[in-house]
Amino acid sequence: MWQNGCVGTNTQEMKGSGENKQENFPGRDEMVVQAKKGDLAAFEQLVRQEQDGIRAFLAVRMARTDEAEDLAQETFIVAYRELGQFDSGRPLRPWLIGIAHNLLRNHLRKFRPEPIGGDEELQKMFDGYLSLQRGDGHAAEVFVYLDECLAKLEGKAREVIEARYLKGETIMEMRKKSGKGHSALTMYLHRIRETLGSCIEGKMKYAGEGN
Amino acid sequence: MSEEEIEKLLAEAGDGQLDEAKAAQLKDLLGRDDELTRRFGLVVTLDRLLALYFSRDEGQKFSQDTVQRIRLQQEVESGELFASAVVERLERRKRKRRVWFGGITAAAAALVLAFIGWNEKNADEGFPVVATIVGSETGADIAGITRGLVAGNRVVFDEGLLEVEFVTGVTVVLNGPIDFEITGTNSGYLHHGRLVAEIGDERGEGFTIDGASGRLIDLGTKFGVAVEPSGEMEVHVLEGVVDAETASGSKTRLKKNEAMRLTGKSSRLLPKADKGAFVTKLPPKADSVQNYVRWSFDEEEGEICHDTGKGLGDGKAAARFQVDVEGGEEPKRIEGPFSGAIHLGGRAYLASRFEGIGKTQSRSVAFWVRVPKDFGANEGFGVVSWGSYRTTGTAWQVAINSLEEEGLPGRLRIGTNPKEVVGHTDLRDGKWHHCAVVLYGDAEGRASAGTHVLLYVDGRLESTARKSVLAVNTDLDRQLNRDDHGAWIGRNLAYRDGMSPGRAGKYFRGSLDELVICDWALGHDDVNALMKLNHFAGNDD
Repeated sequence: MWQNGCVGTNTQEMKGSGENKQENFPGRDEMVVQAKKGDLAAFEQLVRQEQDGIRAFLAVRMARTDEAEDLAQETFIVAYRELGQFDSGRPLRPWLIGIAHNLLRNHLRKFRPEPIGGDEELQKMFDGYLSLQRGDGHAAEVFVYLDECLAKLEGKAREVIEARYLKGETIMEMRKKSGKGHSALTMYLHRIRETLGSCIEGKMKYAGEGN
Repeated sequence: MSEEEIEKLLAEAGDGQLDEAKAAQLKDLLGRDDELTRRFGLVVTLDRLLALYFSRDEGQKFSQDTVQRIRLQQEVESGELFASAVVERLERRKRKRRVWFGGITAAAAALVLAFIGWNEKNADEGFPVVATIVGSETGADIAGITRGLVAGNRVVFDEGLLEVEFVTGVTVVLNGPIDFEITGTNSGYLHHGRLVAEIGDERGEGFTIDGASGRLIDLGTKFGVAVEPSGEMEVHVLEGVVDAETASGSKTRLKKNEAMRLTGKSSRLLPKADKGAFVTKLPPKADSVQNYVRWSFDEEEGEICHDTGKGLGDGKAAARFQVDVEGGEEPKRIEGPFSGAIHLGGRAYLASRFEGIGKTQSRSVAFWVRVPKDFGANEGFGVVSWGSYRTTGTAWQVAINSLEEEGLPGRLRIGTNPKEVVGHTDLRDGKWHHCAVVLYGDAEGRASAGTHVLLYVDGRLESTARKSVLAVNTDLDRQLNRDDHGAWIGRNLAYRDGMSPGRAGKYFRGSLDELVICDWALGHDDVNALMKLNHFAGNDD
């Protein structure tokens, strides 16, 4: 199950890779120069460096992961096309997020996806929550810490999370296998998510305090 | 409501299971409790990020697939995949939660960028054709493909121009990079890019272009629209009247020469319409090769380079080696892409008595160039030039840009004093590149007045900030009768003997081959034929 000391026990661990979220990574400038010249290998390196941030940004804003992934890939395709307009002196992530934001806006306008619970106001409340978070890089930061916090998830909790998200099983399918009730499974998943949430928030708070 | 019931609602929200009744309950609770709203936001965020975390591919698959899509897109635009693209069916939207592309085949399907609709309609399936492709300067061969477009088709390409005519008589010139969607018989959605729309007759009134930041309704006119990657939108009215409406519903009526920037919630008027920012028509198709001058530089020795063209040089176009008045090394004969070529060391040029092409007449210049890696700031002017540098618009100088305030250095450039158009491909790599500059038409559609400029490098249309140079009026009288020279190869038109050459320097340093000057606008086919075959695509009888 969950290991003790998930939050705030080890300085090295707590700083994590989330710190690096807005900085230019080593070699970025040269990659940008080469990519601007049409070097696709250099551009692929840029995609590797930035993909998680853009994918996370879109994933939290879209109910369907596959659509978010489509849009993330389109973001990089548009970025390659428009790279000549990118000011190399600036960080790449905000520029990419600007493109992703535009594609997302177009997508939402065109396809009008189902809001959370079929309720527009509830969807707006969730959108409001996202807008209150720390910048457009918030989702990327959560994603980085999610990786770290998930690494500590073991045993039954790990099995349940993987059944739901890796294998894509429905609650009904999970019920049949485990013999547990619908409510019990839903609550169990909820508690795991809340535990992950606490772990992530703790790490973000710790990093935000400059430790 | 008990704590347990609240937890249950949050649990169901976090797992995407809320029905409408429970959503209403939760909404009511969230409106009164900020902490609960935070928890709700976090569990939904985590649900979505967990889905991403476990569905994403390990390793480098995402980046590889992305680059693969770009590569295939380039092949589509180069013509290699164009025809197949038209008949391909897009399947990506059918899939539910899934792990991204399964491989090259799936990537190719998703890459069906030209003329394929998200909704998988096409003309062959009985959906009515609402628009037709009538012209292409994208490098793709459209002769053998189905050109009918139906509502939902999306036209996406990186470089070049495409002309689409709607059944209502509206013509739209699309300028790559662009992503444009046909949404109806008299409407489209510009995802990003640049286009010019023109209504042919009353059937097209009300033609509508939507974008992320607003809507434009054409009331019998011609206008240019640009949508940036950020979604911000600009409209420039070239003729007539346009209604512009922001996404928040604010409307403004714009008249000829007015322009507006729309940012979604707000809008602001720009000082005036920028005619130079749009290509309003494709270059006219020439049925046959017309008049041209050609210096092949194939002579084995001597200081004369003969004109092997026809109908234009009038026996005066032989170019003779010249060196700077203060001395310098003569031009050198070297090997080029097609037999002999010429190398200019930065202190020499070639002079002819060919007067060039004057006033506003359409024209093209094509050549091979090799720019050294250590190209200096005063070594780019000019490759070939004629006209006069003494008044506005009277010069015509093709150069490699070295003036940073006017564009990136090392790029193909055409200047008319003081206006210029600068390309985006850096030529400073010590390798041979084929370049072409084409002048034709203007924003008002007058065939006789050339202001549109297209630049090609290695057969591909360059992306340029400016699409035209206003007030071209190349002055041949002054050049011949007062300045007393003809076209120069490798000398800055602004430099006069004994005077300061200015920041751009006196001479071009680099190598040249197969320099051609034509008195008509070359199409993409001709540019590519010159590059690959060293002759025109059209009939040269």
